[in-house]
Amino acid sequence: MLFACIYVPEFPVEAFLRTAPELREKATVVLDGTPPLLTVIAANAWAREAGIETGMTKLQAEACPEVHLRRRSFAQEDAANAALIDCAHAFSPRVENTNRRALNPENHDKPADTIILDAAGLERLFGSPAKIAHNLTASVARMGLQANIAIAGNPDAAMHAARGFSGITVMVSETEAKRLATLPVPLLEPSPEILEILESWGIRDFGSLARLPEVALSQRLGQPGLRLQRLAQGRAERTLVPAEAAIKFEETIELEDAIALLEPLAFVLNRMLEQLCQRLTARALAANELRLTLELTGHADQSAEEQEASKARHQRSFQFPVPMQDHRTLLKLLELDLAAHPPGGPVKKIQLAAEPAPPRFAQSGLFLPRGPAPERLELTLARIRNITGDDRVGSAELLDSHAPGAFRVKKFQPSGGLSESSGQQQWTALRIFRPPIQTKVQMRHGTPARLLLRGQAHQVTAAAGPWRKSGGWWTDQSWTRDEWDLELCAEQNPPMLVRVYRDLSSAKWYVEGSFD
Amino acid sequence: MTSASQLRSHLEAVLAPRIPRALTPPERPEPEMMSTGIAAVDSITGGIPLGCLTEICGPPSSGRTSVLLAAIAACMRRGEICAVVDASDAFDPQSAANAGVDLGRLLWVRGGDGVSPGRHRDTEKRGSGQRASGSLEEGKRGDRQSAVGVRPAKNFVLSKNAPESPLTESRQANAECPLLEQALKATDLLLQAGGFGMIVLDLADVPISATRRIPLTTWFRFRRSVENTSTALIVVEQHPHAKSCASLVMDFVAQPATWSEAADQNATLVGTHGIPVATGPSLPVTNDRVAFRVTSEGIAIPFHQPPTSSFETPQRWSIPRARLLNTVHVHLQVTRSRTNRAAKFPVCSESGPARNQYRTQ
Repeated sequence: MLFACIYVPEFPVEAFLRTAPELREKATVVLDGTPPLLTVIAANAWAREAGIETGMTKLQAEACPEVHLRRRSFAQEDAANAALIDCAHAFSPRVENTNRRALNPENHDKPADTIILDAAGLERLFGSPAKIAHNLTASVARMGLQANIAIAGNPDAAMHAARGFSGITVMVSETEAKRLATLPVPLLEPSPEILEILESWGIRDFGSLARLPEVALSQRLGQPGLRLQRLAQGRAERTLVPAEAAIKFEETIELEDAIALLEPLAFVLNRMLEQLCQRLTARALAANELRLTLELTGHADQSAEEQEASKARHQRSFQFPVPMQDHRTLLKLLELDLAAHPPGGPVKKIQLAAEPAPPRFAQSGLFLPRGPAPERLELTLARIRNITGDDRVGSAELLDSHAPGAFRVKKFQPSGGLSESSGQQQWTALRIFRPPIQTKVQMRHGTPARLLLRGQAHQVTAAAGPWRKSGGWWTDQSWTRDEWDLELCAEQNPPMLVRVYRDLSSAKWYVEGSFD
Repeated sequence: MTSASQLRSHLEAVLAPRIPRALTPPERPEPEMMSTGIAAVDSITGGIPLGCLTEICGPPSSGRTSVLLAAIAACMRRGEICAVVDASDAFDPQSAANAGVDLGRLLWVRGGDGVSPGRHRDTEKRGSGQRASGSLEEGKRGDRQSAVGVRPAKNFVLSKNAPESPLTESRQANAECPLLEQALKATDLLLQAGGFGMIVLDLADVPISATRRIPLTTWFRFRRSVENTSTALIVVEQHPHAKSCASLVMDFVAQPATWSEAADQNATLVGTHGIPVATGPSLPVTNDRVAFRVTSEGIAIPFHQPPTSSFETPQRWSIPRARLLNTVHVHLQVTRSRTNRAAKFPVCSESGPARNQYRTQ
């Protein structure tokens, strides 16, 4: 049996740095607690070098220069944990999650920083255990996290090695006790009473505990003592408990300062989309739908009551014609949509959720012309919509009605294959004036004789009609009219063929369009 | 002149090992041609060249749109996807469907004032049919409220504390953007996207004074964007403006239409929805007329029936002059073509290019 463990040290800080990689080279600290009693719960290496230690108060931490202080965000930690699980699932289907918040959201005691996966049989796919560990490290790094990886013959040994040694640790079978010997006893998470007893005996590392006589230890500490000894020896046997959590692709960022401009907002969205697409790729999935939720806050110069009143949510949903994985395309679509539909206030919290779907595997016919690439077409349509307006781009669909202009514009989603159009036909096309031009018509013997169009008088040289059309009389959208086809002639102008109608309800004349 | 050509030959010979034909522009291969769907037009033009810019010009009612729709339908029969950038929102889906265009594979970019079709019908019903406030003429007057696609003013800046947002500037630019510029931008984007069999820029109802102001660089950019692709770019307008950027220019001339005298024929003309009612020449206009019957007493016209209803209530209507707009004649002249240019434009001709006329029969 072979087990691999992914452990992310200083998990709250790493979860934050995953969405703010520019702070990775700066001292960053995460605080938790109830204000004003905020204490440091995690700090990165740069902060440790600056003198920050776990348990410091906020005031003490602020005394260190150039330290970025952040509040703990469980939403970000959950997203980072989900990213770790996605990463592990890219290697093995049997993954154990130590996140207790997954079972109980109120459980905040321990960060979800450890993932154990069953690595048995992966040698044929990835090579030696060392190569598996390197691949895991690279995969976790793509998720924006820095982790320790350990591979051992049982889950607990792998977990203790990952927590105890930085970087990659590969333990060959039967050598676990020797490799784990230097690790401190508190890593075994004994109860405080047992830890105190072991301290009083001078037992401070795994090796000392492993060398104690079994019977004597059992007489003094009972079964818990024996369990701790087996763990220290790397001989504990237990069954892996694979997590079958629902596949949920969500990224959340709670911003310290509200964002008021589109450009910085796009910057943050880009990071979130990168992570989301990485997670989708790790699961060999793509985004079929994207939901963006922005929590807004009031403006800075508003009073507290006004700010509270102006708190709102701005939600946008994007459905794609084909599942997408490219974060640049998704970002551009979000940007264009936000430019067309601005939230209306500074953004305090961003939540991005993707609906997963299998990626597109489509092959068009060998002899069919290649249409526009769906991802590029979607982006182009979004850009055009930004220029012309939302409802001005699409494909027309005729409605089952005799009403004039009975059509609707739907989203453009061209189907593959040859056109469904019938055979070759020839019709005279009509160009529609939208809305119709109101006009004045002079009748002679019941036929239009002169017509005023755009301020110019036209002589009617030929006319056909009237055709009475009506409909919708059973609704409040009734329409009734007499239609005429006219040939108009004006001075120095070529003849013009138009369709005019008389609205019988208002007795007014309109020019509907021209034949062309 | 001789010395210049000698110098050029000499330079080419010197540079030949490194740059073959350094001073000679590469020969452009003959473009692949696509049928317009009308044999008579194909016989004159040879079809529509792919990877080139084609101009269809002429006054209203000269048959430009009919030929265009036939070309789109022919393009779609090859399995292509087409796009129409309709600057003045004049496209009629019913006419296109009648011409054989698969509307599901036709991208329609509408100009106009952003009023939805439903609102049009309301306007029509109420009879308050004023000209579109977002018309091109008004757009030129700088009426920002009536400019195309501009929604009511909103807080499009995320924060009111940041008035200089780039977002603000872009939206303001849109608000001042005339319809024509939007149509050109949309065409540009579609050309860049690629993959379309035909892209149509419909400027037929745009005033000549506006289309004349389109800079030549725009046409040049369109030509460069479309060349080496299998897309046909067609511009419909009243006068040709692309000059040498257009590989084919078709000039249409309006002709008097043919009207059938129904009463004089003393015959029974029966038509139903969607089926041509007139016998004889093709291109019937009355595709959506209700059924009627010519009798010795006049014409019996039933009321319009709802689509799902089957009842029929004939009503007598004595109009002996009733007739049909039967045929629109298309008079087409090719004024520029890359293919067989010598044959089309004899250099020694004094009376100009020979006119080719075809009647849609």
